[in-house]
Amino acid sequence: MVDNKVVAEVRNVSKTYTVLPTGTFAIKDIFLKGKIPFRTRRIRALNNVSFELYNKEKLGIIGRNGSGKSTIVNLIMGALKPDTGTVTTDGKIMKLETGAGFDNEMNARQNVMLNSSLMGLPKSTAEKRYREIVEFAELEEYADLPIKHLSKGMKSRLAFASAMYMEPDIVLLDEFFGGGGDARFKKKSDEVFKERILQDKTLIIVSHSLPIIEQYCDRVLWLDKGLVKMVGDPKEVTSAYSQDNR
Amino acid sequence: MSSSKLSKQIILAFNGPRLERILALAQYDYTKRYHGSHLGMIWALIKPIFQLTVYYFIFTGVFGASEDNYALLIFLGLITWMLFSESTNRSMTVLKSKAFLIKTIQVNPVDFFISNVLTAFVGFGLALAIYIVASLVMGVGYSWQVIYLPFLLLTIFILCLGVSLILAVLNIYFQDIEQLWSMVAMFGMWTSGVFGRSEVFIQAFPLLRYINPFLAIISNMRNILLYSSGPNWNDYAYTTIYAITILIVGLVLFDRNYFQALERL
Repeated sequence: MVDNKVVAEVRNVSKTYTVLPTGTFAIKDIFLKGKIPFRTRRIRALNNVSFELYNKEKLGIIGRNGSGKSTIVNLIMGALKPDTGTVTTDGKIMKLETGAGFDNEMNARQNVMLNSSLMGLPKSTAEKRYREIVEFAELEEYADLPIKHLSKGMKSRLAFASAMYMEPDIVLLDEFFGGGGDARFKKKSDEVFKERILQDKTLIIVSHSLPIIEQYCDRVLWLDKGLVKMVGDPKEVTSAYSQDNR
Repeated sequence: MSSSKLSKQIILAFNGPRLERILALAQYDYTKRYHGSHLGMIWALIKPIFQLTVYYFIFTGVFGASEDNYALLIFLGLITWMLFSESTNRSMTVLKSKAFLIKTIQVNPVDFFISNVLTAFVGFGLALAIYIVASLVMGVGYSWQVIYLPFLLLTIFILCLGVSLILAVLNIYFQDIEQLWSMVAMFGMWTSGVFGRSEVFIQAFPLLRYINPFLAIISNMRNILLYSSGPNWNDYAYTTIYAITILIVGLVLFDRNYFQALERL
């Protein structure tokens, strides 16, 4: 059950991306064009957003594309810095995102062992976790192949199993749900998800799927063009969001 | 970890779990470097043995070098320089190559750079072992002052890490930095006294001593590992202060620009 301890706090956060159309500039531009080509575009992603995430809470974040959902997740991850405001977190965080988290050139074992180590697991525990992860993801036969040779479904299963067994305190699911695979695997992953995440971990789910948000979340945050439009009970927020989208 | 905590994280003292993470990263990098080749890590041994053999036959057999153990002199200079050039060259792609981790797990980004330098040190360690065996075979004696070697290596480590961080920041904004750095590195190699005694370079261009710290570093490496003497402590003090200053500049620049780099990954 959710308790009163705040494990992440987003306070008055604004974030604008400054984008160079060319990414970086080349020295030839200075000579040919006579100036440093800083033609930047500014894209506002979040505007004065505040909320708290409580221990063991399951928070859903919804909103249209470009509303700032992934920006929030990356700020909590520490992979982005707000322009103004503060983001503070407490605990080990892991994000699940389709196609991310693994080095494609290396095999499942090398990837899992590295991830475990960065998550702070001692080597002996990491070895044990690795066996559990590969067994759960049903990838024993493929564990020595570079990840690039695995199918999309296999990679999803591996990512899902990693999050289940690496003992993060806060799990961020960015448009990622379930371990992929057939009905039997889905049933198995639902069970382990309930047992290992829903019971005692803190969770943020970013999803366009309102049934998933309603099924798993205690509270929902609706973002609209970088602003918090509504926050509260999952049923109320998703139904207001659905009406707005009609 | 909040963004405001990043600078504290960067200079945080090393503790057990952090060291374990850094070693795991270094081990991973090293495995990846030789991944897919049939001989794997044996290449890390074959290359320096081949290098040393070629130098020996060219400089002793073909040119008949008058300097004693000229092949060893060059080999030691070159492996020390390669340690620096390899770790700094790779530093420019460190963040890109670790984007898959940065996006999913909270990490201290400086650890990637520390492990990158450590990986270069592993290769250097193997080459140094070959140097020591070859030097003993060729009759080079070692004095007790060889115990100062770790101090010299620590200075090189600090310098490599500082320059790596500065290059990583420059690489965020200037796409030409890799080409520019390869030219700077070439200048550095030819002015480090890799191919001759450092005194010759300092006599010809006294200012070089202050421009290129590797002139003094390589000279001190030879003092300990080739000439059975101790380090020149003036040189040691100067290069260490130089390295620490570069590291502080690197950490400050990196702290201020790291998130800009992440937005562009």
